[in-house]
Formats: sequence, structure tokens, C-alpha cells
Amino acid sequence: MKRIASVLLAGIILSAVPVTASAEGQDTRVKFEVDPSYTVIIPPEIILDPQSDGTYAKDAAITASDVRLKYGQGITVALESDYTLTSDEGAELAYSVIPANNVSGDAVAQFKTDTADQTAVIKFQAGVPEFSGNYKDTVTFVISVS
Amino acid sequence: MPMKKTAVLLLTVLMMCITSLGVYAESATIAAQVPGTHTVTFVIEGGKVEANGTPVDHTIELDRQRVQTYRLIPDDGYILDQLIYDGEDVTEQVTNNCFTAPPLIRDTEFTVIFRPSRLPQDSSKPFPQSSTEQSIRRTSTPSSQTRDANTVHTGDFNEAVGYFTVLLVLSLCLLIVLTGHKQEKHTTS
Amino acid sequence: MNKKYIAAASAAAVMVSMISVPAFAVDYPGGSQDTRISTAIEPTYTVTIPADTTVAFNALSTDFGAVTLESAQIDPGKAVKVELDASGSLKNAADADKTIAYTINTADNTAFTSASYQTAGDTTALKIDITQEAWDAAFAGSYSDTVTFTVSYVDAE
Repeated sequence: MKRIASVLLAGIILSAVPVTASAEGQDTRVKFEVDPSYTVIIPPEIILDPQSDGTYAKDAAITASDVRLKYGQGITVALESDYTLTSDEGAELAYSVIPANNVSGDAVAQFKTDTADQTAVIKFQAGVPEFSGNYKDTVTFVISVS
Repeated sequence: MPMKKTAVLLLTVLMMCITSLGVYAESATIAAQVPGTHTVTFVIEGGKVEANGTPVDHTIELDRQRVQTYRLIPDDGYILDQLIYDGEDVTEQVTNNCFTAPPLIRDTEFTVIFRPSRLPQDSSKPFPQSSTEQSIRRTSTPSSQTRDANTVHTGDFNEAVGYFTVLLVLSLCLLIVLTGHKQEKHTTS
Repeated sequence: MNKKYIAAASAAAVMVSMISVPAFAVDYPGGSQDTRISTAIEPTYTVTIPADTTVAFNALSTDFGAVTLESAQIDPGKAVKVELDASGSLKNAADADKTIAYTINTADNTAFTSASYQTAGDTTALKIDITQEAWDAAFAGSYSDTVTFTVSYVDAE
């Protein structure tokens, strides 16, 4: 038994010898794949607060974490809304959104690849209301990679 | 569990605050002062006025609601012409040179004018318009007074007197002539 | 003339935001998420009313300031109502049985009892009227009366 094993082992070693690198240069393909990922946290509700000048406003923070995208790509956050608050009685109050710093185009916030958490602050700003009441509206945050 | 307690507490506070939007009240005070006395200001021409036996000066101070009787005393040779009290002509209300004013309820002007007794009342001028005019009336003399056509004064010429004088002269002349003729007849006989 | 101010505001602050609500997370490749925007605006208003006033002796009509809605942020369909409670008699300080009758009227000589306002700037000028007969019959002394303005938040008529 011992003799048979020795013979088999010698045969294996001899069979591997022909596979050797050429002294002339041979390409080796190295590859790996990293899936893009990110997580963007948006606030579920934004309640405007009264300001000293009679207007109503609130800062909203959008946080992106573990952002890993392809080179040259970034996360774009945009809004879809009629930008009008409406009270229970039907009174309307217009508002606007002031984007975060260093944003281009229609985006309100932009993020790049960074393993550290990134935060963008946008501001919701309404005017001085003529009527009192409970006002509300729904705004849609659209997150995309571009 | 703590979260549930917090929510209940917040809801309770919210309900309490809504019910406090209620009714507010604020007061204001209205004040007024009614004076206790009033001033009677006198304008007197041609005499004097007495209140309670005392001649009045330019003004007197009387209690509000007081009923005061005034005695009107003209200077010698003067009589009452007009009395204006609180803007109203009350001359007809003067009785026995006395006037009883209604209850005094505000500062009042009392104007009384006396005129010389032999002058008619000048209804066109109820009372002097200025002190200058008062002076003129006070210093008027008989020579400047209006002459009455029916009154005879020294120096006036009367037709009846003229006729009488002529008749007298003629009578004297006739008497002289008759007397001379009678003496001639007595001498010749 | 000094004015008196009545400012009203509900002390309620909507504290819903203090209740913790989980945030929305959006992962790769992206998506959309609705967020609710809201605010609660409590009704507030400021009303000015006439201040203490002295009526001159024998004055038939005396300015008594105005009732004015200086500022207002009220619900649609609501109004601020001001009601006046006045006895109509100035009372002698030494003898309450001695009085001087008065009325509080608007500029068009209508007796003022109440008014409703919805817009900031709405105003009603007032005056104190006493007849000459009332003055003539008045006894000497100091007279006064206190009137009360009541402000409430009501449904608009």
C-alpha cells in the first residue's frame, strides 16, 4: 500500500511539470467585481416652525452612508411637489425648498462615493400665512444615480 | 413603554392648550367733572347792580344751581333800558327793579343798560357796542340833544308873538294920538 | 390717546415632531419616497380698545378712540367679536344716586354694542355723547363709569 501511494505521488508531481510560465511573457487576467451600494436616509415628516418674521421654515437633513458607486457617478436627490401647503379649510400657503450647498441642476442634494456618512441640509421655507389652520402637503424625494 | 407615556403626556398638554383660546376682557373708565361754582360777569351802563344787598363788581362767583335775585339801581336821571342775561333779553322779567335769574348752570354774562329818563328807548341799539360809544352816551349835553319841534326854547321866534307885538305898538300909537287930540280940544274951549 | 392691546394666541405648540418616527431609507439602485410636509398655525389677533377718557364739562360729544383689529391670523370663516358693556350713567363719586346719562356711539351716531372683524385694519371709531339737558341737570361733583370690552373668537356671520 505504501509503495502504491509513493508511485501515485510521483506521477502527480511529474504531470505538473509541463505547466510552467514561458520566459517569453504570458497575460494573466485578474478580475473582481464590487457591487455599487449606498443608503440614503430621508425624513418621513417635516414640520415647519414659526420664525421671528412671521414666516414658517424647517431644515431637513438627508444622510447618505456607505456610498460606493462607479467612478464618475454620484447620487442625486430631487424633489417632486406642487410646493403648496393646504389647510383643512382650503387655505393655501406656498413654500419653496432651498437646496444644499454645492448642488447643480434640479437636485436638492448630491452625494459622492465615500464610506463615511455624508449629510446634506435642505431648507423648506413658507411665507407669512394669511389664515391660521393645519396645513399639509406631500413631497416626493427621488433618489437616483447619475 | 416610555415612548407610550410620552405620547399620552403630549396629547394631554395639547388638549389643554387648545381649550385656553377663550374670551378676553378689558375695561376703560369714563370720567367727568361738574364744577361746584360758576362765574357771572357783569357789564353795567348807567347804574349799578346789587346781589344780596351788595353792589357787584366785574364778576361774582356763585354756587352751581343757585337761584339769585339781582337789584337793578339806575343812576339819578336814568331808567332801565335793557337787561341781557345769558344771551337772552329778559328786560320784561324785571319787576320792581329786581330780576331773579334761573338756576345757575354755567358761566354767564349779565348785561344791563340804563338810559337817561328823558330819552326814548333806542330799540335799534340794545346795548352799547363799545366802551367808546358808552363814553359818548354818558357825556351827552342838552345842546346836542335832538330838538323837539313842539318844545319852545329861548331864542326861538314865534309868529303869534310877532302879531301880538305889532298889535301892542299900534294900540300905543292910537292911545297917544287920542290923548293928544283930547288935550287940544280942552285948550281951545 | 393711549390704546389698550389684547393679544390672543393659543399656547398650543404642535409637538408631533417630538414623537420619534423611523426615517425612510432608500438603497441602491434608487427609488422614491414620499415625505409629509406640515405646519400648524394657531390663530392670533391683536385688538386695540379705547383707553380711559375724561369728558370736558358741557361737552356734547367727546372722542372715545376706536376699536381696531390691529393684526389677525385667524381661520377662514372665523371672526374676532368685540362686545361693549356700558351702564350708560356716569355716577357721582359722593352720591351714586346722582348720575349723568351718556351714550357711546359710532361716527354715524349709532349706539355701539358689538362688532365683528376679520381683516387686520378693520376699525370702528367711537364717541361719548351727553345731551345739554343732562349737563344742565347735573349736580356738582366728580362722575365716572367703567365700560368693559369683551373680545372673543367666533364663527363669522
